[in-house]
Amino acid sequence: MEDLVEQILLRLPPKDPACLVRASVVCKPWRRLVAGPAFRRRYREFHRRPHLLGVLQILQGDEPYYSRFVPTSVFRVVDPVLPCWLVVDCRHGRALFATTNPHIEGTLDLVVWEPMTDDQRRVPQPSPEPEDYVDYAAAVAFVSTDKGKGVTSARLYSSETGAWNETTSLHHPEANAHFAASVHVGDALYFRGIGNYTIEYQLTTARLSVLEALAKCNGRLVTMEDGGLGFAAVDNTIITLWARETGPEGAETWTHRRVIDLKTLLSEDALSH
Amino acid sequence: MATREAGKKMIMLKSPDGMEFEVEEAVAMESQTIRKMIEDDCADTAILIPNINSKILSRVIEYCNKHVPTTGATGAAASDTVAPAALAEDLKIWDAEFIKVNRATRFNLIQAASYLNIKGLLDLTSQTTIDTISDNSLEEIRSFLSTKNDYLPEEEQTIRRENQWAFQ
Repeated sequence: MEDLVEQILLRLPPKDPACLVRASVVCKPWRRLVAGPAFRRRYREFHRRPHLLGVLQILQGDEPYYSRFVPTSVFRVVDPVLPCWLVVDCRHGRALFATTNPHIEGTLDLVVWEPMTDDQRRVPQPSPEPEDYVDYAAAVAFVSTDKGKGVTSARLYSSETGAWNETTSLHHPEANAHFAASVHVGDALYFRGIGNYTIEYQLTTARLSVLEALAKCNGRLVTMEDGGLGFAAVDNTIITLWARETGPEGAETWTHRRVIDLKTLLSEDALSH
Repeated sequence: MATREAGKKMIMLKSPDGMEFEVEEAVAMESQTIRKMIEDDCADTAILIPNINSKILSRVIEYCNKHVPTTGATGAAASDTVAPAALAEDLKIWDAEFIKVNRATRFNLIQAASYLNIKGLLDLTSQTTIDTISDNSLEEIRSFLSTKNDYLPEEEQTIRRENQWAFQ
């Protein structure tokens, strides 16, 4: 019977997230079912593309900075204004924030927030603390110490063990980490480096490497439609998409995919903002 | 309904109440469960379908007959000759008529679709239940699936209060 209920509940439309909450009020076994990791995984597989519940926006205000949850569906968070929280990255329905430590001046704390449940978890600081330039992404802390040494380091935090792994370091004079969201492809996280290098961190093997630089331009790393790694170069209204592909000689390179002109997609009004 | 043509492989399906249904293999293979049995060579003579009575099984076969991709004389899919949009529209109207059944039958059809693993039929039969959840008619769901509400009134109130946005 539980199998049958699961088959039905898998078909609840992701565009109306209230349905899953309502289903969990039917009875306790249903609540256990929809809240369980197995159901959540199957629900994602069944619907392929998760529905966008909202976006996080960084704003300057009375506080030095704050983030705000802007809903794009019927879903509402308990408190949409997050003072002193600076959103760093989002993945798997969770968001990672950097916030000032209330007890030790000048240090940053990391908080993982799950908007659906309002669950907030502080991640302990890695020890020893990173020296200089720090960049974090969901599930991983990326540390680049740049005092003329050109050393880039990475560490991974596991919420299961509550511990940081050993530091992995790499010497590269120019590929310093950039404060921006990372992209998760396969078993690796990718960070954009200053000078348009891409830094790759393999999660299982904790291996760190640098991909060759693209021509200097504004833009960000993205996940392509086929799930591969991409880079979207942005020049005014023109977006140029590059994909990481295996070339004819077997080596991976950046391949030019296509050009999108936002003028053909958006109204004048939208572009003027 | 597709007519039986010479040269097409037939399969015998048996319901627990003793009825036998001769169907084309392609029709039976709309069910992933039966497909697996045939591919694993477990279906030499007749396949017994447990827990699904003849009344429900005949409806399931009717559904599969309608939804099996038909092939023309050249072997090309029928959708090559008939406009796919028109075909899909025709199926939609047929489905809407097919699902006009009482609650007990609908429940049995969901069970059958789940056991036989027929995705389209499961989508179709689950939709009414999904709509009921969308409409927030939880009592109706509980009675349809004979599910007992085991929350204490205050427990249910707490969930509703903490997730007010989902009950507006």
